[in-house]
Amino acid sequence: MFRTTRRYRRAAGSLAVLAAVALTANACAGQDSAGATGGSSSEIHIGAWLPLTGATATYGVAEKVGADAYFKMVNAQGGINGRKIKWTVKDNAADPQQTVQIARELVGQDKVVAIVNANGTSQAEAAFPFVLNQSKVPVLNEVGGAENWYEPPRPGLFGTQTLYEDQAAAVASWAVQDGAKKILVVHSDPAAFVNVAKQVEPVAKKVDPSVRVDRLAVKYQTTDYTPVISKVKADKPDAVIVILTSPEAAAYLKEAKLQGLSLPTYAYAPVAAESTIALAKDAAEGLKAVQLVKAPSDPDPAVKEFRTAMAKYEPGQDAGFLALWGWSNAKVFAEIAKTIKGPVTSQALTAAYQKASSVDPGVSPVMKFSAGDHLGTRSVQRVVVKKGVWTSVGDFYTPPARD
Amino acid sequence: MSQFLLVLVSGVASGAVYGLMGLGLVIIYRATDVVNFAMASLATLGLYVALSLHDRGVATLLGVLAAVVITVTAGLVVREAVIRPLGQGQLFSALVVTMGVSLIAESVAGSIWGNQPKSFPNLIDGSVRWSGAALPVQSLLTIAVAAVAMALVGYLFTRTTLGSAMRAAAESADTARVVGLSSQRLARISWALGLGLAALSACLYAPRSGLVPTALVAPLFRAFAGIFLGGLTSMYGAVVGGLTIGVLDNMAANYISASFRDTFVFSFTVLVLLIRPQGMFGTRTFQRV
Amino acid sequence: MVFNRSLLARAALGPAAGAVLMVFMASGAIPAYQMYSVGLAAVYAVVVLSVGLLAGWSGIWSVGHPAFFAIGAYFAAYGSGHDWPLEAVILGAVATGAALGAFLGYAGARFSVLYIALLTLAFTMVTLELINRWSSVTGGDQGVPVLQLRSGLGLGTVLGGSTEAQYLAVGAAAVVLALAVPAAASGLRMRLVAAKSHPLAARTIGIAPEAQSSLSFAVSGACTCFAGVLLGLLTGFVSPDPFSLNFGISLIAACVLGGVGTILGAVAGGIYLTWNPSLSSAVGLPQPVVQGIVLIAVLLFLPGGVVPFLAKPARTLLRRVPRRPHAETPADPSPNQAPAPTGGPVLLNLEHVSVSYGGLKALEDASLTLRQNEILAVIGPNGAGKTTLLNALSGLTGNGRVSGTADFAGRPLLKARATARRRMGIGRTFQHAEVFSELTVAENVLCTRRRITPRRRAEVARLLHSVGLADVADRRPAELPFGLQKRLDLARAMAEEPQLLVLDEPFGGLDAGERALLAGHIRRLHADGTAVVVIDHVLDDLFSVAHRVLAFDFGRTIGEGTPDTVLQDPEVRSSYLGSVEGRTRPPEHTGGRSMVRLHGVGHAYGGVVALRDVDLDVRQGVVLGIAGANGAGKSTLAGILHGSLAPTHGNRETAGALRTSLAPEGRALFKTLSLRENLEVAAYAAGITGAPLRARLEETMQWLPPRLRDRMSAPAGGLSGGEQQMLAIARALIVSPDILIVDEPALGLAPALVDEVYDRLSGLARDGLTVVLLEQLLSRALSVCHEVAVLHEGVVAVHGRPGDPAFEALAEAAYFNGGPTLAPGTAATAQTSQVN
Repeated sequence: MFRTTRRYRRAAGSLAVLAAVALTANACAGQDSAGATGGSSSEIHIGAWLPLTGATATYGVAEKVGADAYFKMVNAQGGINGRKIKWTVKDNAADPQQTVQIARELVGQDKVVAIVNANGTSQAEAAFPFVLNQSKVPVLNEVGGAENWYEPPRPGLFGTQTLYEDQAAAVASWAVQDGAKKILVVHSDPAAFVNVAKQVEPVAKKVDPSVRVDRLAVKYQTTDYTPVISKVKADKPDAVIVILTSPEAAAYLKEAKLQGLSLPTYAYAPVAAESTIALAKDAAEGLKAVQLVKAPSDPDPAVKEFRTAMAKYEPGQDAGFLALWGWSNAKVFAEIAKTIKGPVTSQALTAAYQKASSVDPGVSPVMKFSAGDHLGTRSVQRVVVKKGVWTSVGDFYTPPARD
Repeated sequence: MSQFLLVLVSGVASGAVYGLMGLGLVIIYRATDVVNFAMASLATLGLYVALSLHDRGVATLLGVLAAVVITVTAGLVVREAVIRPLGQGQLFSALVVTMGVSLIAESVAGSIWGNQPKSFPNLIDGSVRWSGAALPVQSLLTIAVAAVAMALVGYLFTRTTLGSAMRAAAESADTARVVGLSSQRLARISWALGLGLAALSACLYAPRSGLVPTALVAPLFRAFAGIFLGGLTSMYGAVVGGLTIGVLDNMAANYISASFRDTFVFSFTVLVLLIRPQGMFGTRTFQRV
Repeated sequence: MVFNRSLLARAALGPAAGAVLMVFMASGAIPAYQMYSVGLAAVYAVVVLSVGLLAGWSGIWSVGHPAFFAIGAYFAAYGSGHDWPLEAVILGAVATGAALGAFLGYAGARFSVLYIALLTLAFTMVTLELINRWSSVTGGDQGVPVLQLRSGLGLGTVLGGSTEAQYLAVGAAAVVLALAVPAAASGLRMRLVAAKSHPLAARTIGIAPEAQSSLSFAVSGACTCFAGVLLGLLTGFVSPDPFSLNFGISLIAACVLGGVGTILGAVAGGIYLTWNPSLSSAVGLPQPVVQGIVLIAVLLFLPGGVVPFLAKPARTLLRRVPRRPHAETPADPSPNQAPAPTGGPVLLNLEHVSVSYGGLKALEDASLTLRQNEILAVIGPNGAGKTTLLNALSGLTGNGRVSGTADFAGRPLLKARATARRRMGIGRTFQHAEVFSELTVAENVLCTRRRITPRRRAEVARLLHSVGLADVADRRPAELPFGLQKRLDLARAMAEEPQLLVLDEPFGGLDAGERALLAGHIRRLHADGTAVVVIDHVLDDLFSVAHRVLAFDFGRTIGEGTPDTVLQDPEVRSSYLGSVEGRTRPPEHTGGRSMVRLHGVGHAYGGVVALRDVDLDVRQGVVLGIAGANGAGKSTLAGILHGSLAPTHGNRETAGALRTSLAPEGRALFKTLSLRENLEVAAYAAGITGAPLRARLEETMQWLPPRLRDRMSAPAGGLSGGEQQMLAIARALIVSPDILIVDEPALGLAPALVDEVYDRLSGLARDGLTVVLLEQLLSRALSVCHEVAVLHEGVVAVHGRPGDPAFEALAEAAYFNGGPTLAPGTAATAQTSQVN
């Protein structure tokens, strides 16, 4: 009995090793065949790293769905100047090392002409030395990014996302315009949130020098907001600006409602997500926020096109804000790629972006690129939760300049 | 003062969840020598099923029941399929296997129900006002349910023959065999009980945190800190340790520094352990040749 | 450490492989897009090696390595930002890693495996929190670039993310792996593994586990920090994302996959970590699912890891030639009986030494002197305090309280730490041959030395040859039969030629041939000038080597003499055989139908034969005594009669559905359970619940003495020995057994209590219960039983009735010598005239 068990184990073990070897071999083979189809003149091969697993998979998956819907629609309509778009997405699990590996595969093996619509700030930064500096392959419309990416402009790096700092400025001026004299900024404690939260005060003071702004740091991923609300109550502000993740903001709103705290509350784009309403339910009612895109519920024809395409090409997937980001980025890329006469190469794309002085994706602000400005926009869309739905308020809005 | 009360109550509510989860961990560990890392992610599967039922209009209480049943079933399947074949006394291998199970379970939950945060219904709505502060009834219910569950577990282990048998098997598997206790059966009961407690604690925790595939990782780590603090083999230790961690965590966030609460909680735990390596209620074993 | 040729060749493999890899990289054979991955695999291999060797050699599973990895990477980033030279960055990172590692290792040595996991988990969480908050240095979650590091020695500049960084990573990893090869052959590794696999035994050869784990964690931490610097340079950018707890789990997965503690396994693990994402996308499953499946599959099917699994067939092939390790007999030991010592100088002097654990006195007021050139045997029944005496000599009394004085070679002994006693010249062996299971036979002996020179190796080879282990020097102990393991234990104790050798039951579990060999070894040791203290139950072998015998009972000395005379001391004799004044023999009873019958039953544990060819018939209503010295096989026989132990040979027949009940040796109560719960659990196990259970409980309680009946809710651990025995019997009775088996009920009890227990047992027998009594004291067995079988070394030597006038002498001879050698003529009659 014992012997047979051992023999069985050995056999199973050998099988497992064989399977692993076969799979790895298969993986390599698969990569080779993928490499052979790169650089064709009938298609534009671009790539991206997205977090499809891990902590930030929410963003990666939704973004991929939105962009896929757009590319499928464009390809179905004949592509860009007759060329089909091939968008290769690889999962980086939000890990910088994997991102570098993926970047090298995409550029070195798949021969993509650009990285488009990828996700992650530090992840992209880890890949820049190879992609931007060594390979001269442009990184376009990355979700994320920081101020120093665009000042000074780096060759080949173009963005479509209003900086978090400008979002904070837009929120600050909105709050002051609504008449707030004493503002409390509740923010999560990692540097990415702290830096954004710090932008509120100067802009608010610029709009109205008599405004007072305080900040309250909360531990990242806190779920228990009871102590936070009692501190907010003690501070007695006129308005609250939350620079938090969506679940944190929802926890804040729920607890605020429970404790009978009803202050005008403003938030930046990451909070303006469907998940905030899903989690906070009616506690989210009246929450004001700024967004990079129009609300997905908007009657605007460009947004309607998005909803139609999502229903057709990605049925069953949420046509929410994050998908619309992906859609918008894909659309900006396609609009600019259309202007290229001749082969779509890395150089041609970079040149076309620098000349793209006015690209109107409809769902997001008009993008204005130039040789000196690689960030397409500083504008935001104001949105408010009305009857449990994010609703656009007015047109795109450009906040006062920060110092 | 009312703020202190708020912080205290919400700390106790969190601590009750950690304590309940820690109790489940300890029951399984004592009976089978397995530190069940997969407990939280299996409970997450249960939560998603409960939520799906709730969305179809099933009463929340039935949903909780379903969560418990699903979690227990999944746990027993895991034990029979991948833990038992490892054999006895494989402390570390078993821990690593449950880590593997946890990775798979979280990923599966994500691919079935999506990674978007979902809201989990309160078992009860409303709040109680007390000198200017509002205590959510849910928090009070959490404390009450946890207390009742702990009391029932206490009753089971100290007042029933089955409980005596489980304690006996945990004390000495060899003697249990001589007396004729079926260790496999008791192990299965312990797993079921432990996972049931985990599912219950998850149902109490989820309304506050919302539901994502990794929602229960944070309370699991806190529960771990709690049982190490209390002593790995002590059920009282699990409860007291969990409560201590919950209250300490909230107090530290509120009165010391929000940014360094992990540092504070874990440093405290390690300090206690340096003084008492076996935990507050743990027993020291003496090796003899 | 010694560099013999094969070791050098193996150590050179690392750099050679690295060089080949670099040539490939330079020639373009490895596609450019894979270059980074190759470098990453090299860096990961170093980290996996650090984690794996720490686990494999020291038994510490760390989830703290992501933190070390991060510290190294941030050193690179900070150094790059502040224009530090490359060497300073590496030195700083390595020193920091070593310091933190040493602290964790030192603190962790107090904890068990799981607690160390928590300690290192806490370390990771705290470090990550600090990294996230200390943004002036680390850039917080935004990260910091590693632009370049210039060598302070003028060796050039490495740019972050450059090709040179990839070469540097591969080269550095090759060097680290190469360094690991001689480390694996060094005394350091052996001592680490020894401390891990048996901390207690390690202390007896002078190894302190705390220092070892601190050292190994320091080295491991330093290596990981170094890898972190390489990672920073390789990627050219550092952010907190990669250093998560998930990475810690992945590291463990990679270690387990490759094979814990193997160098090649670390390389395999590094490769796996690097290309796991590609594997996942090829299979089409999410990364965590693939990782989880790999983890579970490896642990279930290849618990040793992939590399050892593949290496095993190769090694077996190489080792075809010497197949049976057993055949060899060692060099012929020296003269048969050493001359009795004639008053040499005193080596060891013990005065009034006592050891107590809590309230229990395990050794009471023991005094003895031992001369150089003397073999002293210590005898006494089980529980007499013999092993405690040896533990006091070797310093393994744990948390017991030791009082009294002891001088060894003119120096005070009791205050010295266990690890120091080896240096003083005391070696010891263990009853169960506590060898280091994860080291080879040769390494088991080699690890007694800090530095291993060719001379040491030769010495060890000679030593192994002399005990007959030369052929199996490269085997693991687990592959050897028990007898050879005991020889190894002895060889290890002999390795440093101690002045005093302490042997704990060296003859136990050995067959006659092995025992003779062992006796030869002991004599030879003595001839070489070593003093020996030896305890055992196998008296004939013991007496054949001893010069002087000391008898112990109840923790104190009861007699002393030469091997020929000591058993004539009545007190000594009765401590074995018992004295039975005033007990009336039960009336003759031949018993009814046969209840349990054993045919040719034998049993072996691993390689150790405990019982052979036993035929036994238990008849209804009879009290059957089975008498035998400790180690004769009584408890094994009890388990087989009970049915809870399946014999390896022969068969057991019962008369229909029969309920047997065992009160095991040492009571085996559930000490944390109350008296009532102890009884209830036994009934529950037999399927008695509800009202019948309450009725049985009531009935059983009536059987208990009143002083126990009043304390039914107290925990059983608080009872005295006699009371515990009473409860153990009651626990066996509650299921209304057809046969009650009681194993050594008198063990460790004061005489008055023994009488009480036996009175109650006799009462049960009078009421008609069938009882099997396993008893160390022959006379006690003779006084209460209808039939007595004497067990000697696993064989029923005689079986008869106490009433038979010839039987007592016969039984006594069998008890001590295994057969009726004193009266060979009557043997046959006794054997055949047993029961009808």
